[in-house]
Amino acid sequence: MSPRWQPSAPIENLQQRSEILWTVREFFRHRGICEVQTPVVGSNTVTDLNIESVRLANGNFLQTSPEYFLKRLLAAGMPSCYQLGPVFREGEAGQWHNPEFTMLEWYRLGFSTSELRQELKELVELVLGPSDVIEYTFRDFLFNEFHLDCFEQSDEELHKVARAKGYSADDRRTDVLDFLYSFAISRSKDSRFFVVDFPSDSCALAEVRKLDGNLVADRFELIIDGLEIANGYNELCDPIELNHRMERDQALRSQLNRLLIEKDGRLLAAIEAGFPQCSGVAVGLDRLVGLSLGAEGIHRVLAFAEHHI
Amino acid sequence: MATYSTNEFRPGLKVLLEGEPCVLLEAEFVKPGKGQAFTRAKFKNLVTGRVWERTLRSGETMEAADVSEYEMEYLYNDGYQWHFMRTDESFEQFATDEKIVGDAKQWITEQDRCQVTLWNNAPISVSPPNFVNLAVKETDAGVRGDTAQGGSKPAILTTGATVRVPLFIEEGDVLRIDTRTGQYVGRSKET
Repeated sequence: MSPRWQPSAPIENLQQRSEILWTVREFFRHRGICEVQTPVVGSNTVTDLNIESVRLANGNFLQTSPEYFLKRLLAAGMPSCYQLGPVFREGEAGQWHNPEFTMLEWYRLGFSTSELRQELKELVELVLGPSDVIEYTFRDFLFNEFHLDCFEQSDEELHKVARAKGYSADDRRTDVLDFLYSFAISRSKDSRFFVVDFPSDSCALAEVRKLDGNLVADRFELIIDGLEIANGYNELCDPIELNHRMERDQALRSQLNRLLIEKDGRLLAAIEAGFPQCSGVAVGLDRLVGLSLGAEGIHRVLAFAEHHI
Repeated sequence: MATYSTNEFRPGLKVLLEGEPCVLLEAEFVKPGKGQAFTRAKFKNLVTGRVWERTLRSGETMEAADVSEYEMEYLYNDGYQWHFMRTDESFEQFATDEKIVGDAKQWITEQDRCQVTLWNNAPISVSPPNFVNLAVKETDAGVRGDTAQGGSKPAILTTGATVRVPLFIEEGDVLRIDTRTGQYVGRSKET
């Protein structure tokens, strides 16, 4: 038997994908946003606990998003810009995950997250057509599904709800909230919605603020038909806080016996040199194409998905 | 005991869930961009037939269940137990009770070939053949043209099962029954 040489996507899907890429690039060109290309290989990578990078034999890493390089460009005076290209995540494979996938990431100087959400909504409508987009706070979103309060209720109470929904692991509070959040998304009846104001534990590199007495991350996600399509932040500008978060990630990594990731000194130096207030968002472009084509999985919109490469 | 990690999950895998043997129906990789990875899986309990949905943390392991399925011939019922024999020339025999035979008992007669599922080498479920031929033991004499009952009547078969049959069916007729639905298919062309 000859090896499976054919692409994983039908040729027509790849042709339509090409049209969507044109649409996206024209959208940014109209708005005067510059396309940039940053390296796929870097000597550093994210410390984020739940993102594993592919490590090369020479110790470098395939980038899991262009975030750090783009932020260094912004610190160096680049105005609003975007990158559209491949990123890599170790071990992520499934119906809507592929270890290599296409990320569209852009940054808008001076934008709030709500202004950026509006821009994202317009881009999505160019690809998928218009539709209402509802906006929930993380707290309300979980309340609507489970009638629980993610800030007020005890770990034990959250565990109890999670167990009743078939969650078997016994984890940290943020992991249980991740589970409840994913579960609520899988049950949601809204086609398109934003979730905003995440608990500060999952702030990643977003600014944190106080809302109703609780610390929340100024961060949002866009969900379409049950798929996470985009994740955006009001970007953290404070180098001391950035350093603190990286060290917190490292401590958690060592506690959980994960690979220790060095802090990216170049990113820290860039933020310290002066980083402009901006908002940024990353879009899983393959998923967006998949939704537009009604594809049954990510492999149908990637020329050669995992198992075909 | 062998274990399976969530990244080895594939449909058909037999595992122990809460101490009970289950078959994995489907598994989906779920990962919020910034959150931890999960595997959302559906299991069918091989004893009760109930479907369970569970979400596991990726990398978690489950114990493999020693489950196998064989075609077996139903030999006889000794009043306490049902006896079966493998049809693969091993002639290995297994006995089991009414609870395990379950619904199959109202359809099977001696020499029928059943699918028997074993867990740790003991039967946990018996599936009858999809179609069986059974004689009518008892039914009212049908009156042609009497459609007050919608043109059908109950008939009790030799195994004790009751099915709805057309009015023209008489005692002693051999019927073909679909055991999956419990419905009359037609009169058997055999015998």
